[in-house]
Amino acid sequence: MGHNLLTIITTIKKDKELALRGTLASIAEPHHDPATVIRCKPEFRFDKLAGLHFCSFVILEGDEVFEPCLVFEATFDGPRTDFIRELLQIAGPGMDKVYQHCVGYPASGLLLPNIATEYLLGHDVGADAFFSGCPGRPVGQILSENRLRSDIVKYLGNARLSTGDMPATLSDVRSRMHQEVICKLPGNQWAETAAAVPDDVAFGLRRLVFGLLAVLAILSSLAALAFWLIARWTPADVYSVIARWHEAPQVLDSLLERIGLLAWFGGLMAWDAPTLAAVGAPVALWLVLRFVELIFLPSIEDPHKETFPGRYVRFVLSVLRYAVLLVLAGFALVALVSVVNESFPTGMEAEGGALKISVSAGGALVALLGAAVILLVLGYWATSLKLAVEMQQLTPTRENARRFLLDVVWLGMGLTGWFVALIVVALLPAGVRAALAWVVEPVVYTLLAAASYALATILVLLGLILLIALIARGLELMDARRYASATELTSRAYDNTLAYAREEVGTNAHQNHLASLTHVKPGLMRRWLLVSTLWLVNLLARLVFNRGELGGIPTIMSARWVIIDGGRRLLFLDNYGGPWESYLNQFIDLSAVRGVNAIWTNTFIKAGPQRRRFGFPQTSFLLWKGAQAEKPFKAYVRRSQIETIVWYSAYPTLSITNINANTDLRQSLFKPCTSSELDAFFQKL
Amino acid sequence: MGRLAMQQVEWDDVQGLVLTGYPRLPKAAYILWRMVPGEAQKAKQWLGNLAGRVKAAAPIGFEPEDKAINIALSEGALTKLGIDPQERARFSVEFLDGMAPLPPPQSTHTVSRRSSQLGDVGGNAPDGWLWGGPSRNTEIDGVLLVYAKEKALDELIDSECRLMTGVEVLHCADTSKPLILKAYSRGDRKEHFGFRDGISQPFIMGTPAANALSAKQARFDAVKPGEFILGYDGEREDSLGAKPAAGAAQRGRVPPRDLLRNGTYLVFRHLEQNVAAFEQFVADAAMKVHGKDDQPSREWVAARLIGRWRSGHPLVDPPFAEKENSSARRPRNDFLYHHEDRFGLACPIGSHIRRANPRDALGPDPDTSLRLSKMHRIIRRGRLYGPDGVRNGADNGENAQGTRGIYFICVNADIASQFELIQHTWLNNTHFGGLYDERDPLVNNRDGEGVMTIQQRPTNLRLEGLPRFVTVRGGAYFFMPGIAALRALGT
Ligand code: HEM
Repeated sequence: MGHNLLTIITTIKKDKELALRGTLASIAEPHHDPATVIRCKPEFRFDKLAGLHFCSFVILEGDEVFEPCLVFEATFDGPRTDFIRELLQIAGPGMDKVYQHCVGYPASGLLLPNIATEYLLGHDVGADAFFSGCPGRPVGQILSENRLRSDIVKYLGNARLSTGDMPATLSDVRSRMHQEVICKLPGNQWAETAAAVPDDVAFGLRRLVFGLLAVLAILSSLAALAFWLIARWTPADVYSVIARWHEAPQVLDSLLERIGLLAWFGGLMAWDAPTLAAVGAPVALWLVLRFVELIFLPSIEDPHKETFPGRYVRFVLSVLRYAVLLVLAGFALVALVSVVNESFPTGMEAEGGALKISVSAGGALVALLGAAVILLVLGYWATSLKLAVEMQQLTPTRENARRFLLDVVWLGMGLTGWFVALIVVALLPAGVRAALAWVVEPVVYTLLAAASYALATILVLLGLILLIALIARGLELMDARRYASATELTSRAYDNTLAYAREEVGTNAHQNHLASLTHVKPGLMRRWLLVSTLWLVNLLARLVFNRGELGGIPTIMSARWVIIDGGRRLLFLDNYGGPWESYLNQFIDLSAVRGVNAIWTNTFIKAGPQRRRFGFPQTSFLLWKGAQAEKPFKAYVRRSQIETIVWYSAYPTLSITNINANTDLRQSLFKPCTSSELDAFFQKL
Repeated sequence: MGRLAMQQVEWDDVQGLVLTGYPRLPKAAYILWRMVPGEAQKAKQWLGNLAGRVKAAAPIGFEPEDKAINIALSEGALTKLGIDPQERARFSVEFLDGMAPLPPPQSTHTVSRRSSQLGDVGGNAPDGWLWGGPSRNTEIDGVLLVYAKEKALDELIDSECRLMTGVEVLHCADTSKPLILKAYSRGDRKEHFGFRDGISQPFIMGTPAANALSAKQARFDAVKPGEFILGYDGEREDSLGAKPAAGAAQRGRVPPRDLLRNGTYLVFRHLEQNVAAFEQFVADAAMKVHGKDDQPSREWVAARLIGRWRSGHPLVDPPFAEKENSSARRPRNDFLYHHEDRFGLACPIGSHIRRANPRDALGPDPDTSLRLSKMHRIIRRGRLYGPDGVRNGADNGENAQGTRGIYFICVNADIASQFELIQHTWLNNTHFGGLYDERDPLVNNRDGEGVMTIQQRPTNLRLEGLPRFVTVRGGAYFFMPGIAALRALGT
């Protein structure tokens, strides 16, 4: 499922460009009424194509290198072939007139529709990255869900005003509304059942995580092989390095003894000092790392203030923090195993002080009760810390303190849980423990070894990232000399006003189309960077950003990036909601700026009578600065824009937020609700 | 942190209107003038002399008691004064294009992008404007803003007109009366619909007023100088990219003077208010909602449209919320929406003040939202025109016939991202705040009837059939130069 797409690019015959432009404008471009309806021309009844969401015709002008091309962009439901067939059925003569102007269009034209279909499909280049704001929803569903919502709003409006007609409780209001709007109004019965949710939306995040784990597993296996080949280290060797670390902080022993903590614990069970130190040291280290990280972490997510070094340090810190957590978890698990087994894994008992727990039943009961109380208290504390932000504005310092405390609380809960597990296991009869040991020991052992390799892999990847970043920085510095600065475009960007004259006029007050064409900077590295960034964007758009927002931007309806001309140019076609100015602001001020930078930093444009080359506003380490230079960025986009000659939208007055809210409304129609959920349900109407 | 690093604004070079609306001078006149062809030299003399009379922002806090003069130029004046193309290119495109440009000649559209954005279509279309549109009184080269006490205004107008050389007051094409737009402000600061106006204004960081703000209010109301004065850092630290002048200077092509420095852009809109329609609608809606149209029910509806009571008290202020005339204290302005009224149950999401400045309720997280909304603030300096005092039913006689409204004036450093953005992305945007099909109840481009949702428990109220209360009758974009730049233009 999901929206399908076509990007058909065909070369225009010599000297036919102007004629084609005229044809498109006169027979294909719908009439965009200020009253916000789109009226299609008789030869192109886009509105009769039931599955068509958006489509556009754009002409890429020819220049000294490239021939002029016609681009037809469409987003629709169902298979490509079916769509083209339907298109040729409904707008056959029109399509014929348009494609007459293109090289290679079969002379048979409509007489042999299969050949015409083949021609069109043959020129489809798809997209390197695609984003849809409402993935998986057919046009029909979008339209009827919107109708349902207006019916409901109308019904409630009337009920509200004709006083006395309103049932007393919200759930009664809802069931009455259900009666009146869905059961009684003709054509609304479909809403009785919930809509299907596309797999990628339902399981996207899970798929991404599994995918990442799989990649990590493969890389880790490679790492294991490398370790063995280079140093003859077996997994057991690797793990014992981590498992044995708890012997190190002997220093802590005497300290703990002096405080008398040991004596207190001693009453409950026999702990030895190294064990306590083994738990205490990583906890302390973890807290220190988290503390430092929070200092580096800006309290406000302001992408303008972020830099590569700051971000990288934060990243490294959090990897280290997870490493410490891994060590702690490792120790906890090993301790658990040793309690199960009453000894450390083979070969280790000689070095490590094994954990011997001897508890009386009464002592255990007291300990468990104590643990339960602690868990309750911590749980309550965690909830109130989580709620704290909802109630009032916190100063940055207090916000950091809150996050830190929250982490401490979670750590405390984890440790308490571990403690409980230890006692419970210790109380198990020996037979059960032996059986458990048989399962648990190899599992724990393998997991920890794998995790160690994964950690090593991640550290290597971190190094790799640094390397790529440095190379990219080098390229950026060189490009600053190779290309004219986009700052110079600011006063000149406006000579191609025709390219965007349609924006915000008539129907375009609600939705707009943006077509942008840029050149890809030469060089393998640039091309590789662009291709891999787009691949990543595509992946994230499918699996993560599939609920209406791309990197925090809620106004993209359907966008695609296509690398054309054998990797020499980048075509970006975008249907978005709202005015251009504020649409672009979102790319400048929200975290999506990194995506914009990562993609377009690999591009340049030619402008002016001498066709000078202007680079994208200079980025810093690919992701930062760049588009944040507002005026040059906007000028660059303006200059890269080409005129959208024909544009159609199936639901021109809706925003993505509207569409998704409509679906949410419909899905929540029959869910049993708590009273606050009911309240929220009605507030949204 | 910001305060230390902040550049010191040269207040003695900035025109006074940026910092004050001259509250001690209730009368004002906006004199539209044009340059007499072939007399550019004389016009320069006039400008140079005027530089000595223009009221500067420094000393801060000093309110003139007798008169104040400010001046702003349009694109036409700059061209006629012969500034070179490189200097011209540094001005913003919106200003150079003007408020009501025509669509590009090759385009198939009959309405320009800017007019659509501003909502100047249908009944608001520039074709019907009294001035500033394409058909009538187009040739406006600048506006002279003069402020005085009651009677002294006419004298001031006279004396200033007599001093004009090389320029002349524009005469209305239809009536051949001079285009001197007279305006006033009421003692209680109310506008024609009866609401107290001019309460919420941004404060420029570093001024004494901004320093005196409470920490909470400073978070959203203290804005960097660059948002209102050219030549300083704004909220987006690096909006211009690398400094372009540096390279040019090396090649010896640097302009000898900086016309932009300490200047700002002035947006002027002539907005006619239909007070009778407003009162009628409020009464009808009160009838529908409350079943009666007595004073409190009407006030209830009226307040929902604006987001404040007529006294100026905001709806988000619970203790004062239901008391219309609690003049016990000054109307509050230190409120935010995210924590105090996230769902619009007190102040509707589509109300005028919430649209015109969403504060921290623009996105899901209040910090980001504040960061964004601070980039789109304006300083409002508008005044009223037309007969006063009709609303209270005191005189429905001949006074009721005259047209009345607001000469809406605002100051901002980036028209596209401040005034225009407020217009198209907030006021005129049907999808503002997750809404569907409604626009600002006052300022909008709707020609037919509008709707407005009032968030409420148990279910929301929907007002329908909103007529157009405000019609655009004229307007232009001006540049209000720094005083040194004015002097430079005069030589
Ligand atoms: C005839 C037309 C208008 C009327 C009667 C009107 C009336 C009002 C009133 C009564 C207030 C509340 C008082 C205050 O906070 O100062 C207000 C606030 C405001 N208005 Fe208007 N207004 C009009 C047009 C406009 C236009 C055209 C714009 C901008 C493009 C605008 C922008 C604002 C802003 C920014 C605020 C302050 C909101 C805040 O910060 O909370 N207004 N207006």
